[in-house]
Formats: sequence, structure tokens, C-alpha cells
Amino acid sequence: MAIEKYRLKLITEKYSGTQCWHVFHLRTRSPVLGSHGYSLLVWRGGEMKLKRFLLRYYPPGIILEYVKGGEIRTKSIDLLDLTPETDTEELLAEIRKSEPLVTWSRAEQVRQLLRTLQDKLRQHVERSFPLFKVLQAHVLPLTNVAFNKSGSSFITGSYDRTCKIWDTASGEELQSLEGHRNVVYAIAFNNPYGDKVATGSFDKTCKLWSVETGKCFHTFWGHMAEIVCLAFNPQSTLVATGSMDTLAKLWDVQTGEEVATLSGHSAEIISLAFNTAGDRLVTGSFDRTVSLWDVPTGSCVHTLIGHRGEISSVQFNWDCSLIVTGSMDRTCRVWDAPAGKCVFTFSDHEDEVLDVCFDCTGQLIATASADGTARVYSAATNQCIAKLQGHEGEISKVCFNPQGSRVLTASVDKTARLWDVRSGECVQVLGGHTDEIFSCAFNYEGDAIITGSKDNTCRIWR
Amino acid sequence: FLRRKAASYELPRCYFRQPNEKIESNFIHVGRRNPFARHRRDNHLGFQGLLSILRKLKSTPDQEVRILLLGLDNGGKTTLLKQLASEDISHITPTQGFNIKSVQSQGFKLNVWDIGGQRKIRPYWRNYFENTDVLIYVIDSADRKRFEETGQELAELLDEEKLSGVPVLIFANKQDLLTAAPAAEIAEGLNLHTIRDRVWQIQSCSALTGEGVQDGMNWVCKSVNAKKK
Repeated sequence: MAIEKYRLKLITEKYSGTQCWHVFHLRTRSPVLGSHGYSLLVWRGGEMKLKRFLLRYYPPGIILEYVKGGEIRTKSIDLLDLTPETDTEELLAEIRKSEPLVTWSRAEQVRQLLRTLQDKLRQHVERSFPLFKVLQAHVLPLTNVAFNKSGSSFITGSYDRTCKIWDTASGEELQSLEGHRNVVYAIAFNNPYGDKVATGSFDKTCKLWSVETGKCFHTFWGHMAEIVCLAFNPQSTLVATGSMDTLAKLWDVQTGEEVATLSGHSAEIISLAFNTAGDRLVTGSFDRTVSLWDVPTGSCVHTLIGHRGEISSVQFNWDCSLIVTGSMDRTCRVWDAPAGKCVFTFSDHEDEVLDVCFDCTGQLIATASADGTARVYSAATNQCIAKLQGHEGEISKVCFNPQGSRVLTASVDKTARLWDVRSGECVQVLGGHTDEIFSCAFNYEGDAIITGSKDNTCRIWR
Repeated sequence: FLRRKAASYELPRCYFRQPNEKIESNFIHVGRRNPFARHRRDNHLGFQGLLSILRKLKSTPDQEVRILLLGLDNGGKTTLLKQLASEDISHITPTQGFNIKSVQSQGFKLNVWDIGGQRKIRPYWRNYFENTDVLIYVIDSADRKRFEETGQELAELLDEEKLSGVPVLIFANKQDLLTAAPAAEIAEGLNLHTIRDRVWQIQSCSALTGEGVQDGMNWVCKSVNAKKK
């Protein structure tokens, strides 16, 4: 094309953040259309060539791997509202409209991918979870449990000062991570990699371990009180720890050094979470506030004020736009993350809200309360979709299966329960523990559950 | 090994009673039934999840008291705890981990932590030392064979830095048994009068019948009052 006939407007591409030129006719000022009637974009730095598609099951997404300027890059098309019922043709047309890399010749391939993603969402939906194994895991009560991404192994923390790594298929103990001098309370795998485990202890330290050898890579010293929450950033380069000393700290996974201290809360930090991009961290405190931090600079971006009781739990949704918080004031609030403003307050519970979570797409919110009920809300409409009634004691943990069709709750009534999100009916009672259940988790596939209890055992259900 | 430990524990706190000092003041005799029976547990569902544990872990406000209940296995700690919370005490099994109950008394909220006493889990007692306001040590007064063992465990607790200066109440439990040693004899055997770095009290009681429990808890509130003011 003869460039002098056109005006080029620099825009930032929606998904990958890369820049490109939008082409307009100089005289008519109308956008110039390409061969299929779509706006013509000229990519900065030359042609983009699609190499291949990668699939992400939960939350559903198609990752495009492409070459640009000789470099391999990826960008993702998030399909957060994909359901098994979605019309694939309509969706495909929409994708082609907004994504120039998906050309006519690639359409059939994308159609197949969409069907695969829909099949995944249908999988394990009607599944029940019989007891597979009871592990005499620890000599004292368990605290938290967590799966690695593949679900092949999981970890348990305990009052007996150890964290153990278990093989999900056999129930065999793979490693016992020993070295803490008090309760191991907060634990995490560096998913999706799964080669490291971080443990936060009442001994005021956090330790980083090798999954393969069980050796301790680093001990993070610096907190003045118990560490009660921690998380890896999605890139697995940082660990964030939250402590009863009112501080959160960021630590470098490679060097083991402290990167930043996030100070600002006036009481214990009880919950923290990174967003999907890894550039923001949210912390919830007993001081009734929630703080949003910029990870690269360690500065506080927003303080979310509104709850009238201690915060119990905080989480981001997948697209980093919303934050959900639960509080002892019996409410759950949803906040606009960029603006730092409260957008909705759910006040249906009759007692403290002890745990909150988004499903993996961010469409649904679940709340667990000391009133013995859990609730499911739509994040889009703020409507209560289901009230989950049946537990005979407070519910301390709640989580969704990756498909977003089931909710799992853990209660002090010694049972965990599985609920249907749409009907709100209890579809299975996971009974057998002889004391309170402190934690529960689904694996990434959604075909296995683990529960950790005060009775010193861990149960695998699959 | 045990003997070596026993020898070492006598050294640091080896004070002798002044001739005119009255140790009688440290004894309370078996009293009325436990008034805590009237108080409902503050937690209406009777259990506490992981988050409640964190809330009870933090340094307590003035009107809240953190009480640690320790002692050898089968000493009656859990029975005592349930008696305090007016719960059924007919089916109590050895505590593998811990139990927590909160009871209201004299304007205080007493958060009582009952920690299992079996030998293999005694090394983990120190998990619970932080922010302790009062230590209650429970002794099976009828288990004379283990007096030495219980004395050693107590001595080690009193040596703990994190428990230094913490008031200690010793319950000479199971006084409903005919073979129970009286509190005075236990106090003598444990050399309690050598304790000078804290206030202490020995109280005979029966967790089963509730006798003496109230008096012990009254002393707890009194010593907390003195400490927190």
C-alpha cells in the first residue's frame, strides 16, 4: 500500500499489550478494511505469524503462540463465560473479529479447541468422591492442605512443626519437611511449576523447600510474629508472607533475600493474594481494612475501607478487576480493584463470614460463615444464586471445583460437603473425620479432593 | 537421663522458705460446685475453626485471658476443660492435639487451651506458650508412681523463658479417689515453695465432680486482675 494515502494511528493491542498501527484513509478518515472486512492493523515491528495454539482448561482460554520480529511470544484469549451450552459458531465469529491472528484458515482448528474446552467443563460434573485413603499424616492437628497443579502430589502443614509432601495416587509420604520450630500454618506450592514449596510458621520464619529432595533452599527471617498466610506470585519469582506482626513481606525466590516490606496495617495480616498478572497484592487485616499493593515498587495503591469487623479472607478474580473480602462484620464485599472502591456488599449471613472465594473464571463468589451456611453469588449481577444449608457448625473453608459447577465446604461439624452450584443442594457429605475439618482442596482436574483435620489425619477422596 | 534432669532443675530456683512464712496461704481446700456451669460458652456452636485459633493467638485485649492447661496424659485436663464449659464429660478420649474453650468469669473471657499430655506430644507444648497469661498444671493425685515425672515436666515448664513470670495454678486433681494424695503432700513433693519468680497456687479438686474447680478459677481471675492492672 502506498503509505502517503493513509494515516496511521498508534493503538495498544487489547490482549497482548503490544502496539500496532490502526490504518485510516487520509481523506475520508474512515478505517481501512482488510480482505475479510475487518479493520486493518499493521503490527509494529513487522508481521506476526501464528505458530500454534495452546489450551488452558481452567479458566477456559486459548493461548496463541506467535512469532513477531523473530521472537516467540504468546497472548491469551480468555473465554471466561464459556459454558457447555455456548454457541461455538457465534463465539468463533467473535474471536475472529477481535483477533487478527485467527484467520479463516485457522477457524476450523479454533472450533475444535472450543469444543474441547466445553468437554472439559462437562467433565467430572456428576462425579461423586468416595473415600480413597485415610492418611495418618501427622502426630498433631493439620493446618492447611494444597495440591500441586497436576494434582500428582499435595502438601499438609501441621502443629507437629512439619510439612509433608504426599503422593496422591498411592497416599505415600514423599518428603517430610522438617526444620521449623513451631506450627507450620501457611503452605503453598509454586504452581504451575510445582518444584518448590513455601511454608510459613508460628516460629516467625518462612522456608522455601525443594520438592524433589526435601532440602531447604532458604529461610526467610524478618517477621516479628507468627506467619499466617503466604503466596507465590504467578511467575514464581516472589513469595509474599503475611504476619501477626502487621507486616507483609516480599521475598526473592532465587536469592532468598527480602525484596520489600509492606507496612501500613495497624493489626494482624490474616490473608493475602496476588492477582493473575502478579503486579498487585491484596492483604486483609484484623484492623478491618484491606490494602492493595503495587508489587514492583512495594507501595500501597489503595486502602479499602468499609468493613466494620476484622477481615477474614481476601481474593482477586481472574481478570484482576475485582477483589472479594469476607469479614467478621457478617458481610462480604466486592471491590473494584483499579479504583479501590466498594461496588457491592452482601449482607445475608447471620454470623461472621470466615472464608470467601471466586471460582476460577471470576463469575461466581462463594462465602462461608459461622452461621453454618454458605452462599453462592453471581459476580456480574450480585444476585444470590444458592444458599447452601446443612452443616451443623461453622464453615471454615469454601472452594469451587475448577469447572465451577460444585462448591466444597469444610466445617467444624467434622464433615466436608459438596454442593451443586445451581440448585444449592448437597450432593455428597464427606464424613469420617473424628474432629473439625480445617482445610479442603480440589485438584486442578476436579477429580480429587483432600481434607485436613484437627484429628491429625488427611483424607483423599476420588 | 531422668536423674540428670532432676538434678539440674533444682539448681536455678533453689530458694528456701523463710521460717516465719506461711505457706498455708497457698492452699485452698475443696470448695463448692463450679459456678461456671451457669455460663454458656461464648461460642454458640461449641467449636472453633482455624481462624478463631488465630484470633485467640493474638495478644489478648485486657478483658481476655489466655490460659494454658498442661500436665501428663490422663491427668484430667480435658475433663476439667469440659467441666468449665459445662459440657458432657462422660465420653472423653485421650487428646491427640488440643481443645480450646472460652468461658466468661468475673468480667473476663477465659480462653482455655487444653493440650494433649502424652509423652510423644509433650515436646510440642511450647507451640502454645506465646502470650500465655496463666498456666494451669493438672496432676493426677492418685498416680503416685508418676509424681516424679510430673514434677520434672512442671520444672521444665517453669524454666521456659516464654512462661517466665506467668502465674501458675496447680490442680491436685482426682480428689474423689480414695487413694489421692492431699494437695499439701504434693506441694511438698514438688518443692513448690521454692518457686519465687512468680505467684503460684495449689488447689485440690475433682474435675469429675467439679469440686474445687471454682476456687481454682477464682484464684486465676484474681492473679490476672493483679497482673493486668
